[in-house]
Amino acid sequence: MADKNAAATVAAPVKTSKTQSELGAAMARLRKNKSAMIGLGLFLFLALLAILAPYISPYGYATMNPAEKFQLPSVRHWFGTDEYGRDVFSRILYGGRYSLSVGLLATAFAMCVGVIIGATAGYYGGQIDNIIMRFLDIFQAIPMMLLTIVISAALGSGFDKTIFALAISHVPDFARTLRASIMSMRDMEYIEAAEAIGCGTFRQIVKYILPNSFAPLLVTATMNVANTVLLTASLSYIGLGIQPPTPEWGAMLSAAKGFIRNYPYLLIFPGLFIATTVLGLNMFGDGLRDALDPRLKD
Amino acid sequence: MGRYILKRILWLIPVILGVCIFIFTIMYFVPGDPAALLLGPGATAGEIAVKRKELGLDHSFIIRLLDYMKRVFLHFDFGRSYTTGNVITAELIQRFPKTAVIGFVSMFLAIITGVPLGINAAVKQNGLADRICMMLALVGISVPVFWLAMMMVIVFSLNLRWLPSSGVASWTGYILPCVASSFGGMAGLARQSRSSMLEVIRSDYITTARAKGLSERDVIYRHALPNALIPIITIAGNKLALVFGGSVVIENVFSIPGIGTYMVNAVNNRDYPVVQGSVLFLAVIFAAVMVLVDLVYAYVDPRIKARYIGSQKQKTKKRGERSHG
Amino acid sequence: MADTKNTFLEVKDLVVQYTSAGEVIHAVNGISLQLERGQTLALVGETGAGKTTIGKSIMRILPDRSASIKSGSIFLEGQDLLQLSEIDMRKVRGARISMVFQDPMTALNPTMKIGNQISEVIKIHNEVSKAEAKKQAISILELVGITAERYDAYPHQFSGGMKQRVIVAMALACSPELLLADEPTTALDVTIQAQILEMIYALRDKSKMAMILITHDLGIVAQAADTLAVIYAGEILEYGTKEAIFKDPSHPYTMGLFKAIPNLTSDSRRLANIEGLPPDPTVLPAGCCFHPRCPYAQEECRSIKPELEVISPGHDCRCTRSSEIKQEVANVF
Repeated sequence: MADKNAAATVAAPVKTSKTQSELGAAMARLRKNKSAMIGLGLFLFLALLAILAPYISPYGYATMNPAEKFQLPSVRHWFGTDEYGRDVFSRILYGGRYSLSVGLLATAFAMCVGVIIGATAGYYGGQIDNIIMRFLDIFQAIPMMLLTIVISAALGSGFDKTIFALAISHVPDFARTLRASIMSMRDMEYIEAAEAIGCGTFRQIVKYILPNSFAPLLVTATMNVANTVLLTASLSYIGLGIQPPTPEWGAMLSAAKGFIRNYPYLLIFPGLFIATTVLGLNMFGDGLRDALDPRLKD
Repeated sequence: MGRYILKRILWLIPVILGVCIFIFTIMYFVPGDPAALLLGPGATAGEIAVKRKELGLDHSFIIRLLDYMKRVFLHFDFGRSYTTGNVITAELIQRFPKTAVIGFVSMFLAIITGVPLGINAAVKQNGLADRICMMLALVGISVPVFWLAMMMVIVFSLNLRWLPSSGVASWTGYILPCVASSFGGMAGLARQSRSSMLEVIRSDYITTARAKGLSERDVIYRHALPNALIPIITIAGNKLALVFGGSVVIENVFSIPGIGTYMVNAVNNRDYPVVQGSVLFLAVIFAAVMVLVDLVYAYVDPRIKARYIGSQKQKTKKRGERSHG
Repeated sequence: MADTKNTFLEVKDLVVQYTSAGEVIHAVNGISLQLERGQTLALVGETGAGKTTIGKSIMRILPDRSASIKSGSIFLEGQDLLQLSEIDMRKVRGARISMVFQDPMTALNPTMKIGNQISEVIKIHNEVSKAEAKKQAISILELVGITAERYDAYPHQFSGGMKQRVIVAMALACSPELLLADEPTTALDVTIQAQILEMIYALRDKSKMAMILITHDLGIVAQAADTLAVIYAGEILEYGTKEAIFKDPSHPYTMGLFKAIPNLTSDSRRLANIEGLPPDPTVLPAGCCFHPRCPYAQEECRSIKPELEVISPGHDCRCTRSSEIKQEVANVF
């Protein structure tokens, strides 16, 4: 049988410029996004300041000096001093450690738990999914701030308790993201194909589903860190969260409120730093979302 | 359509019950004995025991839970405050209008400014106005609302002396809180309206509309906009959660005697019935508003409206809605 | 193909590019076509060959931001559409030239009643009252087999085939002189395909409408077309009357397409196909655009770009080795 197809001639390989994987292409798009890179830079810079706080802050965060209280920004005290004569700049640097670490840890925690819950719901579907979704519905029926306040009120204030409270209220977000991811993929043919060749459930999840859910999870995580930093500040502001003398930025604002009439400068820096951190994260998160789904960009 | 309304309202009931149980359970596990706290450090064990019985604290969890639910849902009785002894329900009702005004006015402001800005940015994509708006919107969702509020107080109350810095003695006292509170929602809605509109503009049916010879104006306002606004309804509803949650903080900044301050003070005073009652109250209001939002959505989106008028499909998964049409 | 001044539609040297993520996509690379009134031209080719882009260029509904018509002209009865102002072009769209799109599931506005979507196009191009437009819309709906009482229905209440009928009704509502049908039945079930096609042909014959039928299905070409153009990588490889090309496919690509049609009477183990994939439109090959996949390619094919040459009246081909190849093939058998 003159089978042309069996001939050894293979057509000249078609040259493509896109030999990268999809993820690689997405990373390339991300790197080109100026706004996202600036955002990432901002966040990393602030994180660096926080990490290096013990080494670069001119004073300790609790060092009081009543003689120098309420000083406006000067060469000696870049951001001025507060009501106890403490150097605001140093307090801001140290405060970053709390504000940022609470955000990152709470999100990491929430992600781990949320992923497990979402995966279970998404993969097994049916009754299990129904029950889990009802629980999540109840969770999300309470405005997040209120929920966090309730949990925080129950647990008490403090660094680790606040992380816990924030983590719990963010679990539904991750659970839903992963569940949506899984459900959309469950029906895709390559999962059916994997099942058809005898690929077990666990292997399917690990090898196929998780890598492809990675992208939306990352976006959710970034937005969540931004959200948690804001929430932490709000909690500390109203008296929960992390309290003075710990220099958490929200707590500093709470203290500064009492002096708003006479010493308004005390309000500027903590708020500015919160805003900048969250802005950086949001810019990066936006860029991440655009990079992973470029159709929406233009 | 009536069936859909009924279905949504029926869904509300288990959720509210669930929320009640959930909040009660969390508060149940708060460490410390409320009776001992109330009576102070000098109380004897006997006095504490008597107080516990008085407060009904000696029953089991289930009994207390059921009792609480009975009181709340059948008698609208949230109990009494540990600190003042006042009836919580009365307090809540008295304080609610202030919280509600700020909540709904700021939502309203957020919608009427945010949505048009976002849609405009989408239509004039990459124009100067678009970029500036979106940059401002980014900042708007990043700034802590209480900080923004305090900045506004500094400018408008302390420096310019146009508006009061606290309290709601006169209606002008509501201006700053409402405006400050609306910023986050406004920025968020602007961003999401823009994405929604962009996605719609890219749809095939917009190409069809252009192929019919419609003017660009008609394409945008008669075909794109109605479709873009539908998901925005749900988004606006979600932003309400932000506003309700944020009201707690806003009331603190402006010393407004609403439910927010009531709750925060209660937290600081370990007045748990008040915390419980306030959160439950606000959560129920929020859930009710969400049902309303869903109903509006269903009314406006013909795909959902039609489903409940003479359709055979009873249980359609939520995902199925999106692949129709 | 001779081009005369009385040609209804003439596309001359059309070049269209897309830009995406900094890369330039050469979608259409110098296409020239002619169409007489009442005739049907088929554009045949694989997905991504540029057929839809040609159609959208004629209507000037390419996405503004990413696409641009680099050069060329499109004459409708002597008037260059590419020179018209946008306002004048809108008068042409929907009224003189209409388009039916490929995917009926997404081509209709989900929140607007289908009847209104049809009467809308009537109202734009005619000075009629709302009631009159509705009347006309209803009669068109009945023409495509949809009863009047479904005027107030929404798109999601229709099946794919019915949606496509609505779309055809919308396209024909103002009795256009030219219909661009972009793979109108590809997304439909086979049984529905036949129905929709029959309907389109009947409506076309009734109104003596010219049609450009974009398809990858040679069976449809055989049924419906008078002339056809084989499109590959944004160029025309073979162009002529249906009879000429079907009797004597002259370009290796066309030959490949015909050979790929399964033969009902013979019993072959494997279907013949054309090896390889269409080229990356951002990096088109030098010389003949088909050479990487052509089993008969020689050195000259890789470097010299062939011109479209007349090989017989009413039959053009873009292959320098066409007659040699036909000899080779004849010798084998």
